[in-house]
Amino acid sequence: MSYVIAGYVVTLTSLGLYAGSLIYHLRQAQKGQGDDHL
Amino acid sequence: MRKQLDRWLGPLAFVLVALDVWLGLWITPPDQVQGEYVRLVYVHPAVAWVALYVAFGMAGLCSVLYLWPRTRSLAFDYAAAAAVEVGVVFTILTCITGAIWGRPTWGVWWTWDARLTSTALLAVMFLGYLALRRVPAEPHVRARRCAVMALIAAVDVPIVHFSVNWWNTLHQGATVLNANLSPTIHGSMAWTLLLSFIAFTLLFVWMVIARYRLEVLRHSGERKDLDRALSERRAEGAEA
Repeated sequence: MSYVIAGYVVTLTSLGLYAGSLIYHLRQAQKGQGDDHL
Repeated sequence: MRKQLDRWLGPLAFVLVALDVWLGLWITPPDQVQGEYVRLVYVHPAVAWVALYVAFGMAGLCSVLYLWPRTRSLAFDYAAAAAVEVGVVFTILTCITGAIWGRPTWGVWWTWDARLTSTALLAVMFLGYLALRRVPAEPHVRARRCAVMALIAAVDVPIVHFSVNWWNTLHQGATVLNANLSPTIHGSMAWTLLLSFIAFTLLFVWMVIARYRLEVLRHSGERKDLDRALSERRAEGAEA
């Protein structure tokens, strides 16, 4: 079962971190542009 | 409509992924042959589906649309770039979850099997695509180079798909997208598997939309900086 848990943890953590980084960079870029309607 | 989509797509994708995890880990039964390891089927095939067919299919299509003179637009280049970046994340996860599944079932983390090797090659080629995007060039020159690179790399997608039929591989054949299009899986396992495909596809769509917007904002920022630098240079020339 530890392999199964490892598979889920790796997948969810990686996708979560990537999604978080996308949101962060998108907000930074919007601030830089002074454009909040995108 | 677009604002509604913006508001709901991300949360919906995350809720569906959470539901998939709950069903996959607690509700579905263990398999007669694979036991508890079958629970990885609710992650690995869906992630591979998104990487191979959705992400790189979209990248290939956008690249063709960019190269076609009548539909040439940088929007297709940005969309291809977004699809490739998210696709590379999903491809690397495909390799990692496959290795985690392979260790207890095959006895090895990695083997130079046709399916595994062609998938790793695909990841490397699309990493090359992302590296090519960072080479400084005029936007349309970069877009053309990258579109050609994406189409060369996309040739590997059908090779990955048919590798289990063309070569004698350790990796199992297609369970869902088989030659007869008759899934050899039933009951709660089939529904959870279907849910995993929907959940990870929606998550991909949300990520690609976010990545596309980021690409557009970055390029419009670069253009503004360039215009500002040019106007400053012109003003200096006029003063002189």
